[in-house]
Amino acid sequence: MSDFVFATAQYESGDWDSAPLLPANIIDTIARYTSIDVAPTGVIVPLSSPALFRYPLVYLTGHLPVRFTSGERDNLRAYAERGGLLFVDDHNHDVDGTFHKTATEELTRVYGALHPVPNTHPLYRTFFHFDDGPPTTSHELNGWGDNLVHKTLSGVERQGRLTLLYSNKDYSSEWNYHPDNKRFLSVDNTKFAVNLVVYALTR
Amino acid sequence: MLLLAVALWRAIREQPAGAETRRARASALARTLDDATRGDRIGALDVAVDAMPSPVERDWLAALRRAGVAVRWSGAVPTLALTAERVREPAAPLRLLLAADTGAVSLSDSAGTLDTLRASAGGVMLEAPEVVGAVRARQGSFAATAAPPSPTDRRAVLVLGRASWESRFVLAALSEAGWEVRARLPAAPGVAVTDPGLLPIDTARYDAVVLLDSTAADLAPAIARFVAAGGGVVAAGSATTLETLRAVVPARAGVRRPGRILLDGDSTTRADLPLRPLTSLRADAIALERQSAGIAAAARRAGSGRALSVGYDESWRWRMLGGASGPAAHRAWWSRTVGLVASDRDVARHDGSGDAAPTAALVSTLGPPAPPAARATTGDGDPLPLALLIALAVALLAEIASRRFRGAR
Amino acid sequence: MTARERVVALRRTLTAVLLVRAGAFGAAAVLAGVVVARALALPWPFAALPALAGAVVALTLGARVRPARSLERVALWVEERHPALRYALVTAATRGSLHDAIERQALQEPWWDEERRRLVRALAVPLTALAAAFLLALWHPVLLTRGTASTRDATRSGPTGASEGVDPLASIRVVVTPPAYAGRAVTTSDDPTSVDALVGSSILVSGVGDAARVAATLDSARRGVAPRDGRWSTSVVMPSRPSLLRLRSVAGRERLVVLAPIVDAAPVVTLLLPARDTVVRAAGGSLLLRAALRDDIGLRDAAFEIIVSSGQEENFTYRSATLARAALGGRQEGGLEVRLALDSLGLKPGDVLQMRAVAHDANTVTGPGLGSSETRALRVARAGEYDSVSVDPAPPGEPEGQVLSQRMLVTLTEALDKRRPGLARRTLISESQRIAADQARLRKRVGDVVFQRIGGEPLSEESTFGTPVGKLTPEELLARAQAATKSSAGETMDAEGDETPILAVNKPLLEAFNAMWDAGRALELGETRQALPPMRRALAAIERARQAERIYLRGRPSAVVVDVAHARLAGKDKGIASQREPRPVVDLAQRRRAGSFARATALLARDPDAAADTLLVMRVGALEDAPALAAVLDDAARTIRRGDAGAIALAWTRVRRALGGVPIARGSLPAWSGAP
Repeated sequence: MSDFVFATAQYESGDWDSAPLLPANIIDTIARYTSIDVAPTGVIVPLSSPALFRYPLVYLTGHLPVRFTSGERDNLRAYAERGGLLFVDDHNHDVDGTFHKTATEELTRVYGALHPVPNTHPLYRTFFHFDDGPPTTSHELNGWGDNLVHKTLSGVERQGRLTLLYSNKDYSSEWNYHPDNKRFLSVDNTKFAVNLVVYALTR
Repeated sequence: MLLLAVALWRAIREQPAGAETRRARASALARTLDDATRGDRIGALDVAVDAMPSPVERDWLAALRRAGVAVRWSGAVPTLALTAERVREPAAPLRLLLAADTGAVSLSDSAGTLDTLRASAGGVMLEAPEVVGAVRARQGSFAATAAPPSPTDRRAVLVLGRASWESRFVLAALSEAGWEVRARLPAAPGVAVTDPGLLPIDTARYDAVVLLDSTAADLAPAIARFVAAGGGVVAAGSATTLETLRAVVPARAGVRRPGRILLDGDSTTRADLPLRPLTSLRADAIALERQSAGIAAAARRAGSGRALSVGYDESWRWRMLGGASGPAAHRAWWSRTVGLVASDRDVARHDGSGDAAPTAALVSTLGPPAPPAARATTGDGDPLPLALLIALAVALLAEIASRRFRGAR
Repeated sequence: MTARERVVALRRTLTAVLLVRAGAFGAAAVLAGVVVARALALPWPFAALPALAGAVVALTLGARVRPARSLERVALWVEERHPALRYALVTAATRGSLHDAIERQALQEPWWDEERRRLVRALAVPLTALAAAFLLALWHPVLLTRGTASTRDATRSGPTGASEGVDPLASIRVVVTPPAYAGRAVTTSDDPTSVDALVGSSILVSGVGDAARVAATLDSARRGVAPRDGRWSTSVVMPSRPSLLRLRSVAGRERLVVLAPIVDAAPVVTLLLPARDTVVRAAGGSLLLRAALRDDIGLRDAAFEIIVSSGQEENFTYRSATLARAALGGRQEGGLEVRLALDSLGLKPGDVLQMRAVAHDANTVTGPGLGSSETRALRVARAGEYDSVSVDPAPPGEPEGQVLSQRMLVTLTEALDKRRPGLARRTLISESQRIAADQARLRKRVGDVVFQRIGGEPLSEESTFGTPVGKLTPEELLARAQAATKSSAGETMDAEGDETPILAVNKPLLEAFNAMWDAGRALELGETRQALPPMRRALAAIERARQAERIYLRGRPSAVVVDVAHARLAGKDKGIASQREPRPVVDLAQRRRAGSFARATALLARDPDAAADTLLVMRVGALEDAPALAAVLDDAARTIRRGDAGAIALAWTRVRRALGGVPIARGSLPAWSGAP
């Protein structure tokens, strides 16, 4: 069995599958830079399913409003208590958009208030060093969304480790391409995902 | 006047030394011991042990015996021995080990009753989170007491394993159980997430080392020396097959057997985990846990330390998929497992309090019990002086009353 | 007066003096005994002994009155001290004035004055004893303490002067006024160990005595104490976290009161209609929305919220609105209903309408709590979803791979065909069949792309169609697939479960599928030259399929399988070893609480009030993370304060169980020290 399986959260209310190529891209990145035993394909796991607990790191994204069912909410609470880490990315990169507003409302109900993750957080030094905090994406200033560069991510910590990480930076767009196309990039823009996974596996 | 004369004669009459054989019950021994010590009339002392004599009384009897008094004891004394030790974990709950005959034994401390147990196979064990003051095990009128050692601060635990869910959740479990945890977790060749100042691995800094796979092969010789010096090691998975630790670990992990397939709503328990049954068990190893697929945990003494092999694979699934109680159960198991091999640092109380093995101490001090002796000629104490005193008091009161009544008229 | 009359008078005086002596001695004995018992804090049976002793003394001395009732005895008593009377007084007293000579002799000296003075002097000692006992009682303040304070309270008061008066903390009263929005009644309790009330409640604590002699702190913050209606009082507001109110008198006495906040829960909102999510072809008509609302205190208002999302892929727009807002006037239960005209929303194909109900409670202290229901979604299907069997395109990875593979097979076959004259027949057949096997595998992969279903198996040759598929015209293949999936245009596509059927058809891929069939049959027979033309046709067909409309599987993105072994450590950049931050060592609350419990146990015998206070301090910490423990701690503290010795042992056991759980017994001794 592989140590690490990339899991995408499927939730009832929105377009959870808006970045279908992201899992393969991140798996490829993990394999390229680390010796972590990673499964070659990702999985899709419903948020309300008991299977959620098989994947202590889960990725969630979308464009549409997010409204958790009570089953999804209860599952997420238990998931956080047991040590799971949920990574949420606003595929709209729009703080005035309904994904951001509704997702943060739902996440606050489950996890409590979100706080900015300081750019000195260990997450930014776990494998590669990101001295300026979360790397900027090429989509943040593409004219859509809020057209802002978000300097920090947000999150919730429990007993000194992140249990929720929330991004407005649209990594879903940034990383949503076939891994074979990495060869066309001068700089691999997925390296921050390595930090995220290594952080999850070591903290 | 007659009564006073009798009392006076008795007081001045001389008794021959050692002529008296005194019988006493252990529950009321104090006066007899005093009499036997202060005078020389008592030449023999028969003690009916109806309750456990205190350590002071036992020593006193032994001293009388050495001084020439023939001390014999008799009675049906139950087997009773109690010891209190601390579990070697940060929370340091108490473990009370009781050796007793069949029958109910009541365990209590200063705060009240802990439990009432029935020993089988000669002994019984009770784990209590904490006790107040000394612990007493009582069976009828016999009791053993033990003073629990004070909890001592544990040293750190070193966890070595590659970056994986297993490493991450073992770290979490031990931290949450109160252990100070340090780790080295390789994520890529030459790249590891490491605590600063990890080395040296010695008993002054660590209580135990946990090896989750073979990534710690470079540290295996140091770990072997650490165990020989009194430290503990828990080895799981491929760590059990490291060449340098072959002489240390009690067993090797075998071929992996998959865990139970879970249906929706099922919760994982330890028995459902994938298992690498332990093989090549050393002759001095003790199997601690068994599952249907084979031995899941085994331990042995290695030098001055302890080593434990674990066959469970992916124990993190127990935490995540074990329902609401999963995290606590996973944490408790890992903390207990490390505690089984952790260095023994507890400081036992030696302040003279406690009487942990009173039956053994009685036999050791005074020898085995004797058949009950014939009734002594002078019996248990001399009631005549008391009778004389009462008679005198009554007579005096009667005289006073008589005078008063005569005077009032 | 005659002698007899004088003796009678003296008898009266004697009787009175004896009674006064008896009473005075008895009272002095009682007073002294009580003072001594209180000062030594003796339990009540011993404290009652002085009263008994005083009664005995009084009765014993009072019994002397009986003989004094006899005139003869009184006269003899006088004769004893006046021998000159020579029993004349006795004769005169008992027989009257029979003879003047006896009468004169009986009265020859004024013995009556002297005896009267003697009797008065006899009162000095008992009256002095009584006065001394009274002064002793006045000096010791215990006897002047009012209320039901125990002797233990007296010993905890510390040194005091005679002017201290009432212990201001002997009894306290707590008046709780809930916040106005809660609409609850004011409650009063006497001598509570804990006050449970809503956050924001006003709590007035008062007692009898001088306000200047009492100090109050709430979690180490000083609170003012003021006189009010002849009592001292202090007022606090129930905080949002458990807190400890300490009251301390200048005499050194301390009382603790735990403030346990009750948090106003958010409203519970249940969306009754619509009952489930829906997909429609066209959104028209009206939709009934209905919700049920409930709150523990009172509801302020409620409404429905809707969000309409329009757009696809990266372009979305949103509209939101609030409907049917209603004020609920503080009711604990309510309902909400509205009919939503879908026409007014102008929903277009692809739009998603999300609906939920929200309610606020009337909490004006910590802010209104917000409760919301589940969200229901109504989606309008896009045009084209029902009119063709073509669905969202799939990623183009597969055809690209297949082109490379088919091109390689063509190259291999061409090479084999060139070598054919020099090869033995058996070798030719063997190598040709190897290529045929590859061709068959590639053909199966093309078939998978064509016939894939969500969550189902790809096409197998022997399969769901009943007969081996073989070579079919595209129309025949389409008809077969459609029959297998049982889908038809016009049905509402309700995306539930894994079995939603989708059919992907791409004509060029079907042509390639059939051409590969022909090529495979030829290669099986070793006919390389006959195999080449269909193989080239298949290659051309796949090339066309790449440029055709792409096929996506709706609802589930296709899984890209990463070649992990190939990618392993291929990255140019290397990571940097990082330092792990040590986690703070977890504060084991259990150990702290066990230590506190041990201290409370040690205090229980010698200072029960201090033991109760220790439990109350533990309760404050436990209210947040161990409510069951907090409850038994409060119960144990109240049991101690009541002085119920019989119940204390049980309460103690409950605290111990709540602290660390039930001790675990195992029926034998373990083989390994420490093993369970």
